[in-house]
Amino acid sequence: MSTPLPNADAAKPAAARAPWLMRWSAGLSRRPTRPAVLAISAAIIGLGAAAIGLLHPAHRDLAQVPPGDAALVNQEPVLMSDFISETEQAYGVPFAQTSPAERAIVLRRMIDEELMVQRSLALDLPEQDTDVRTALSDGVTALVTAPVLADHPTDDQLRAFYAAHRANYATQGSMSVTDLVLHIGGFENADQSLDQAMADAAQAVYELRSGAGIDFAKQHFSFADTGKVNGEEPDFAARLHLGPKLYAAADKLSDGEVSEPVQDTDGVHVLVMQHRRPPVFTDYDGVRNNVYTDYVAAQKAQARQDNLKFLRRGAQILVAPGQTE
Amino acid sequence: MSDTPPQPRPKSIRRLGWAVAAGLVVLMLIAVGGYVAWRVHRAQLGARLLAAMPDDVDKHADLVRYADAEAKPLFAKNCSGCHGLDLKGRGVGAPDLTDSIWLYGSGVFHIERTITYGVRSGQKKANDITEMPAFGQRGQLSDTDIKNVVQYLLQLNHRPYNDQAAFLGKQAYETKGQCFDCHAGDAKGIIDYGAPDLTANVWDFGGSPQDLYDSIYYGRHGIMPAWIGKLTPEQIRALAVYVDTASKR
Repeated sequence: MSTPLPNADAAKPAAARAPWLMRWSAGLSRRPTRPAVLAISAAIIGLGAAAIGLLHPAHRDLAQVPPGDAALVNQEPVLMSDFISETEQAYGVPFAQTSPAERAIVLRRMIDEELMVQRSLALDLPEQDTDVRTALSDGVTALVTAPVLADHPTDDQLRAFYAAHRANYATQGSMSVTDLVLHIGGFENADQSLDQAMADAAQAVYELRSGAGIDFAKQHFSFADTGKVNGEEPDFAARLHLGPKLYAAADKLSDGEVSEPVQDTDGVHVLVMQHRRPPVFTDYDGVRNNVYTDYVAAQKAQARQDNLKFLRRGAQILVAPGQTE
Repeated sequence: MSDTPPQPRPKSIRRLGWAVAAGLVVLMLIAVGGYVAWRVHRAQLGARLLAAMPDDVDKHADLVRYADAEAKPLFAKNCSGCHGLDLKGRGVGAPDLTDSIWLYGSGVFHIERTITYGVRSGQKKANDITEMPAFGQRGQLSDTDIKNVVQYLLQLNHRPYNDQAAFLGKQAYETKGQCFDCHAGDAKGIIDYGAPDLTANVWDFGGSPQDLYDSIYYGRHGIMPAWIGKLTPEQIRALAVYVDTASKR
């Protein structure tokens, strides 16, 4: 009688000999918690994922007009509220009293407008058309400045604004002034230094203030009449012709007065005032309306500037070589 | 040392474990299913709320209830800062929403438009045809004129007033100030302009003589932000219904 070959399986533990299902059941009976928890957790997660998917479906084109809209134009809504408002404005009666034909006319017009707007975006009009760009910019400005206008200025703020911008609330003055210049450098004045010119100008001022005429200053000190101010000119014209530096000096002069020497780009100047009619500053009470309007305008301008600062902070702006902004 | 494998648990305990697990799964299914059904129902109510014509919503009690429930937390979060949790305003120009005085028209439609586009919000469709000018600061009415107009307003509202000053104030109302332009000749206000009724004794910026003086002297420029783009159309509709309902209680 032969000895049976040893059964390899017999060497294994009892559980290992069993098929996989039996082994799993045996494992479950030894540690029932973990597999059950895993199974239940998987079921919960699956149900949760299904619920999320059901309640938040992926975006897709609408085939029906959503509630609250009167129409969809390439998936862009025409609001029912706007439709009602425009119909009432068009016909001057409550919406319920308009006929279907009347409503159709208004809706068609609104759809046409939406199509045109979408077309303008496709044609890139906001980048190309100046009128469109201006309208868009104005729209943003309106949104930005709206909150600013809610703050009413106090009387003190208005008075302070008036004081800071007093020149804006004055009648225009005028002046008749001779602008004498002692050139420095150039072919004829090659050996004229600035120090010498200033000294000569100071001497000329002394002479003029002592009663010497302009011709004396021209002949004796080689001054030239620039002719920048021709006869009596209003202040704004004199400011343009003289430039800010010389105008500031002239503005301080009364009839017959002579300025101190003023160094400018083309030489040393001396101004002789023939006749000065100064601006008349209107007192605050006389220009309150203007001050209020200007104050509000300044607030709006400031709001616009602040908005631009904010936009620039977050913008990438590159300027071509050789260009500045 | 013996090496006996652990004894399997009794069958009864295993069955109990499975039963508990199955029960939990069933409960979970019921909870999720119930939640989904509730959400679908709410979504349907929201769609009906939005689909209804604005001024027809109050004919459907279930829509009004739904709108109120949706709008209450929205109002608390977005509107109560100015209008107060009780909708009665906070004395800073935001009006009492529980009275029947409406600057830009009553009813869900008009309230909805106001919420959507705001008042002087910068939106082109906002309610902002006019504002109350600063008659005093602009020098259009003198201090005496303004005080007289205040007396006239007190007279219109059956409050104690000075007879002579009120007479002069009426003249100023009709001539120098041209107040009738916005507030109408009978001072009842014009909704198209958002100019309030001056005879209702309801004042967004206070009704004391000093407050009335300040309103005329400094002007008023109340603003309400536009909520389009910040709230969904359904949320705006719900708020409009909520406010309209509150004003009718």
